[in-house]
Amino acid sequence: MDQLWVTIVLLGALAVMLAAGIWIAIALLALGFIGMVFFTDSPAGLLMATTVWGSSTSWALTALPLFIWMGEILFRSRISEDMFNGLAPWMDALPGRLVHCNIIGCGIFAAISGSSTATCATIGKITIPELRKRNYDEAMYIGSLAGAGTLGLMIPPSIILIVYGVAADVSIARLFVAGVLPGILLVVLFSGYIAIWALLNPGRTPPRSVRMTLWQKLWEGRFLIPTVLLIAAVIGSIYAGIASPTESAALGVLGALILSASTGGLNWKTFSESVMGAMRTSCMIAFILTGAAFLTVGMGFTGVPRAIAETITRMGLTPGELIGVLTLLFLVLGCFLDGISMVVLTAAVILPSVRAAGIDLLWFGIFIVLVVEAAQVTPPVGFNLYVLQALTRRDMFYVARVSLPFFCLMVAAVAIIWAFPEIVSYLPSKMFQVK
Amino acid sequence: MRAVLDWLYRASGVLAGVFLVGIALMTLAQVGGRALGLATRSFDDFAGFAMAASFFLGLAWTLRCGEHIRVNLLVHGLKGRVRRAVEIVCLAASLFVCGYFAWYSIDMTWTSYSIGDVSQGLVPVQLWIPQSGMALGLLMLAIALADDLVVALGGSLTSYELAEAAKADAIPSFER
Repeated sequence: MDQLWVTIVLLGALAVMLAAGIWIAIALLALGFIGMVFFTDSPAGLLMATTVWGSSTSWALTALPLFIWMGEILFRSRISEDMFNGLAPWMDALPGRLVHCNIIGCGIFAAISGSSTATCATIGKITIPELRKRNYDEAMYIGSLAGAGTLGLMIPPSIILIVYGVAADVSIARLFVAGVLPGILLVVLFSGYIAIWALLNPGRTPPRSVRMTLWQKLWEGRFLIPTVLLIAAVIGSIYAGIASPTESAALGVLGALILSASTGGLNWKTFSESVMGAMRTSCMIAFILTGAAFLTVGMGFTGVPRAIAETITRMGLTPGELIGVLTLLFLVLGCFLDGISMVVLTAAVILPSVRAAGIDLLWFGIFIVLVVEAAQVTPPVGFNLYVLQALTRRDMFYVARVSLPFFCLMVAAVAIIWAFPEIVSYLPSKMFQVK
Repeated sequence: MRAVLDWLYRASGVLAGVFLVGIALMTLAQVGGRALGLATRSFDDFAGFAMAASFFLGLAWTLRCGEHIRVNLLVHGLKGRVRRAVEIVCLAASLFVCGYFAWYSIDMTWTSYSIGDVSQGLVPVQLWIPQSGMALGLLMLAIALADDLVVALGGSLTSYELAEAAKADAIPSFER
């Protein structure tokens, strides 16, 4: 049968299944099944069981449940409550003042949780009442939360980078290290925008409200600082080649348990809740990965990804044009799909095209995460917009409008890493290999 | 019947949690062992097996907690009988796919058992032992889907719809 028709039938089937509300993981399994049973003579059931078994025992993937568990433990400790008080004294001197608490707070919490909606909700719940009480500009603090909330996807240990690494067969350690500079780039862009805005609109930032000595500042940050050190140790050990991502995740879990115990937040209830929460989240992600693993095999049999790659090559798209088209595609897809599903679908269908265009798969991983981040704040269905709408009781249109500058900054970040790919590749090229 | 099923879902969820803790313990043991100069490489395989067990055994419980992702934008726009009908079709299709998947996983596990297949790691393990976690977990998922299909056919809200609604109510808000 004509490749084009196979592609159209499969894409149509996927769209119908997703729109009807079938679970994404099951829809991916079903799509692989449809592709195999209707368009090839391969034994679908046998391949389904063996592919999935092979993909779900891979050692690289064991980092995923462990990092999620580490986040769940820290999430239940006092860290989020102390975030604002710990950060405020340090931020008050900057132009834009306490709005920077949103950016830095989200940056730190992002490293812990790896989920952008959780980051946005947890930090917003604390900072919005505080900033509102002090008469900060509402458009500024809501917009900055929407933007900075997405840092969770980029700043390592990032769950979505593990998913990409497993799906695209790229080293997770290298992806983590590659995500550091682009993550910092985003923080600088966000904070820089806030500072410039504050300097241009001097009347709209309230005066300084916190004055403390260095010792007081350190005392306020007594729960925050150890957490930051723990995250730095986790990333540092991967960078230095001392530990694989899985090993550093296990040490991170141990560190988080010790931290939580020493601040009095650890008891049987919080421990078992953290285990069950981590189990459910990693189960959900693993199920999607499972579906994607089978879909990749199924798609391989139908030859659709190869046909797409050949079509793109025939059209003579330059890598730059391909990236431009993909950016638009992902921003649209992001209105309907969550980031992880987008990443695994890309890996199953579009990766051969990307490889054929000569684009570095490490760079592409960071690119896709950046675009997925931007998609979280694209109206009408950015997930972060929903959270902020619920938090602030403002309408969706308002939240989307104040988030727009930050959305533009993220698109600018995509352009920057395209122009300067060294931002992605520099640190991985300098890192030490494990053993 | 209801109580037995609920107990089964929860029990396999708790077992999944135990395996999750197992991954951490084995990885830590490996790091510690290496620091002491002991050969603990085969822990890689065991951690991988524990992870597979954790993933699959947790599937049913995760479904009932409404945590498997789906696009419910359009479904939430529907009301009444149409909504029920769409939900029933989805559940039936999902049950078919997962039942098929569970059937072949059981088949694979049975084959591993009957030909005595072993893993390729340093310590050979009878493959049917870790594989049975996958087979059992998928079977539980199929049972959970059938359970919810019966509920939906009876015209009531399914377990995951109730859980999703409860979560929507719990979205952090300081102005309520």
